[in-house]
Amino acid sequence: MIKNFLSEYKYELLMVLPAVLIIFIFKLIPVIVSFSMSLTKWRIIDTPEFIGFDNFVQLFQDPNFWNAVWNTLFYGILIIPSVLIGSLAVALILNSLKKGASFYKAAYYLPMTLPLSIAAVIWRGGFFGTFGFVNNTLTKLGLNSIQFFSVNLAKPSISLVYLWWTLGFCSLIYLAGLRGIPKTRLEAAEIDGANTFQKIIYIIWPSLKPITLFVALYITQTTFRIFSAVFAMTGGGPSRSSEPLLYYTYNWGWQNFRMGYSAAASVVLFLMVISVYLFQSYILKED
Amino acid sequence: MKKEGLLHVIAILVLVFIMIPVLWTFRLSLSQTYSANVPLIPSEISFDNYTTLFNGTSFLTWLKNTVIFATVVTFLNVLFAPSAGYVLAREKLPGSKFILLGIVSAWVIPWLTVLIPLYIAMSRLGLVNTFQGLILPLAVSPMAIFLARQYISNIPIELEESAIVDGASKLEVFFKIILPMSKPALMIVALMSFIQAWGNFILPLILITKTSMKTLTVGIPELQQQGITNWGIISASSIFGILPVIIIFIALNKYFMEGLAMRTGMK
Repeated sequence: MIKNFLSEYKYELLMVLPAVLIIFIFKLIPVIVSFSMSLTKWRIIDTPEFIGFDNFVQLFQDPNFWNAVWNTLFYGILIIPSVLIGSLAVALILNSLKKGASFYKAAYYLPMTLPLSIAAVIWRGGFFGTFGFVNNTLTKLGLNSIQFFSVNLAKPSISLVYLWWTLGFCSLIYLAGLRGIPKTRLEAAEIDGANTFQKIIYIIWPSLKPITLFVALYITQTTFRIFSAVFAMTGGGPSRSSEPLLYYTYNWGWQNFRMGYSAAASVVLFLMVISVYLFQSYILKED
Repeated sequence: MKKEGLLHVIAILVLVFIMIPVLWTFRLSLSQTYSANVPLIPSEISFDNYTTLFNGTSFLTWLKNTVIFATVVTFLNVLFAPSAGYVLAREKLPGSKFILLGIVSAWVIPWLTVLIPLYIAMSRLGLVNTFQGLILPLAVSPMAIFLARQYISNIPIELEESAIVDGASKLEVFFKIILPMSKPALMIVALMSFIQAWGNFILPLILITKTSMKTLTVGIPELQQQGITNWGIISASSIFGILPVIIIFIALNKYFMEGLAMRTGMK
């Protein structure tokens, strides 16, 4: 039977196996190891000791953990819809421009060429800082300067950097999706007298669902593991107001060396992203 | 005509939002400054930061390492993603949905959570401080496979069916129909994997300890001296670090356009 299976799916297996194997070895096995770590008490120097779900119990009792969960969701609520809607709008605009689209495309893509860890340093001091570009300009205009990294504004400021960083790239993905819609379908709709709005609702949007699911998941996982920008800009502060869950994980694991506890927090993060994915793929179900 | 003008206005507004920080970085790179509080227009333009970068630091070595690392990663992803994506899009294998969920799970796992097991594995395999060690974890990006899968599932299945009726084999269908039609997606896959490697911070941070093997992302922060930020040099290195990515983008954009020409030609 196995022999039959192998010969029937010879090509398919050849096409999938190398990729699946590499992912399995370098991502899934380490993750299984790290999930089993979450059931242990381990401080790197000693040997891991099995303690069942104690880490999770402790986690759920820590107000800082819930604060980090809330912050992560807050980033998600700010960033995911704005990037999704923004990049689709930008892609639709670029797609209907007769001239200059390739110039805009190249320019919009620029932010992502700056590694986020470095771009964030520049945004922090050069742009958002007390003497940065924005506040310098405001002072010159005789306006009050803005404290971008105060308790209330830290999360929106970081989210703005994420929007800046991902917007152009996500619209490129959408643009590729738009180009994938068969011209004949759009022409047929035009002959039937559909206007731009109707074309977007009845033809473009349904054809874009698979790509939207991709962009949505891309931006969700980027947002939920928001880290390097926070690291470079606020360090999670002031008073933990911008600390996301991954940062909490990092602090417990790599600063306090409680590896088991840190792994437990990352299990929660993983479950959060997976449930958002399942939710999104349910909403954007392909027929 | 009026509509085209309005669209340009919006496009330019977006352009301003996106370009100001980039231009500001460029501006900072033209002054030797330890403060970000500099006038908008520099009184004198100096390229000293760039000369210091090339002569006084290991910048060029880091650049070379990053280019090698990112190029190989891109090549491998473009090789693996479309074939796996195709099989998963058409659910050719029993259990495709299950494999897909595995791939999505692998995608959403932050590197931070797998660092310890990954580091242990890498040091057992003797891959610490090597290119192989950096490349292998990124060689197959779950994100690239998922994108290819999503894009291919939008290609009308009738094309394949008629080719099979005409007597094409499974492999011919893939190479002659699916692959040429997914060029726009493959360009995104290439860009995405290039950027993933280019901007990756955490892998080189734990896997590379030798200065001669460092990449830009871990090298550049070292240019900051203890506690003081030399804005000029940081900005210069960031600006110069962008260049290779722009070159790749322009090169790939040509292929992107080719793919489009082919597509419109096919209808």
